[in-house]
Amino acid sequence: MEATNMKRIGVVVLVILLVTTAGLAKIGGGDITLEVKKAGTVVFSHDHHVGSVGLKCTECHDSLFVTTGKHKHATMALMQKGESCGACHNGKKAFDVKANCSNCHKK
Amino acid sequence: MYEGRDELAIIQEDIKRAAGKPGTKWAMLIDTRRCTACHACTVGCMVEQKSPPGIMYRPVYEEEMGTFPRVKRRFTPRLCNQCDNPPCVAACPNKGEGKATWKSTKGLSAGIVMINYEQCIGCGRCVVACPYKARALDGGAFYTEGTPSIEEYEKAPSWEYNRKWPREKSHLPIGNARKCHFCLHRLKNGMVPMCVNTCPCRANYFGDPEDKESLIYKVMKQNKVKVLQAVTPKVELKIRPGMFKGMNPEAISNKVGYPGKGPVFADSAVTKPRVYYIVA
Repeated sequence: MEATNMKRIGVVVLVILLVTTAGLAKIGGGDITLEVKKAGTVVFSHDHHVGSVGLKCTECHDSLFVTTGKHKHATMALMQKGESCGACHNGKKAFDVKANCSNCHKK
Repeated sequence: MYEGRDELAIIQEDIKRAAGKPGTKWAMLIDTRRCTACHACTVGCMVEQKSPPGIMYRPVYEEEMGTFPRVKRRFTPRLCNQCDNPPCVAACPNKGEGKATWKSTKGLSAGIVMINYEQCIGCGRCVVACPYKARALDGGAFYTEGTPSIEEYEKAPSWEYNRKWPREKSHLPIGNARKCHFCLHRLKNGMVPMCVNTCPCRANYFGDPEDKESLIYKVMKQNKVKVLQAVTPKVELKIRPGMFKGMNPEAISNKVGYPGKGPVFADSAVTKPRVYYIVA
């Protein structure tokens, strides 16, 4: 009985430690969740674009996504014209937004 | 020494007293006549903040004036002036209390221009806007990169703005704007800012200049006091979108002339700095 309780406490402490330490270290703006009706939610990951791909902040934030007020309405049509995500996701710098829906939109 | 006591002891008392009072706003006074350009403040700050390559909150400008035999040397430490009218905040696209950068007017941080690393997008506009070249973007470099191992002292966390920031590849505040913050985390613990603490010449005074009991108030009253209007080299850069696209932080710092070469003093400045100078 005592051993099981000790084990439970141990697991709880471990989980708390994992959660708190993971939360402290953050890359850029973290995960940005974009709710998109019908097509499915998109989660933009700074961890991936900055940590894995190695992009610098100024690669995007010099003129893109500078304020939340300005980039609220980015449509797929605008992206295909090179706006917003389409500035890189045009098939040349990174995969094209066209026809790669499930890469970003998760149901 | 001031009236038989070490200035630092008096300043520490001033901080403890001011920290408890509402309406306190921090400021610093630097007596350049006492500065010997030992750079202890520069180094002390970098140690306190674990400053990475490319970031230097408090350089000391060395100037030589006149011709032989009437030559004079003047040394000017330069930190963030925590302006009451900060051009960096004005330039920030995400400004506001609790957002990327703002001028704090209440609480323990009153007087300090704050940065929230979680909200700063690393666009670099504030770096251009600062006339004192006090802000720079963190390039994410390590001093011991490329050597057999990145040393533990480099990964050790800093405690800026009262939060823990371990240094890991790509993690905040890498990419963000960084600058002097009057060692807010030290003020919170009743300690004197590191540069003030470590100066062997006692060239710095710190506290609330409105507090008539404080040493900074008394010394400012007894002396003619100036402020920085700007810092050379003069670089005319207009902030426009696309100016820094893809540029790494080091290149941006070079473009603006960070951390500056020499002071331009004046009786007052439109930025309303909170760092005052006694100039010989």
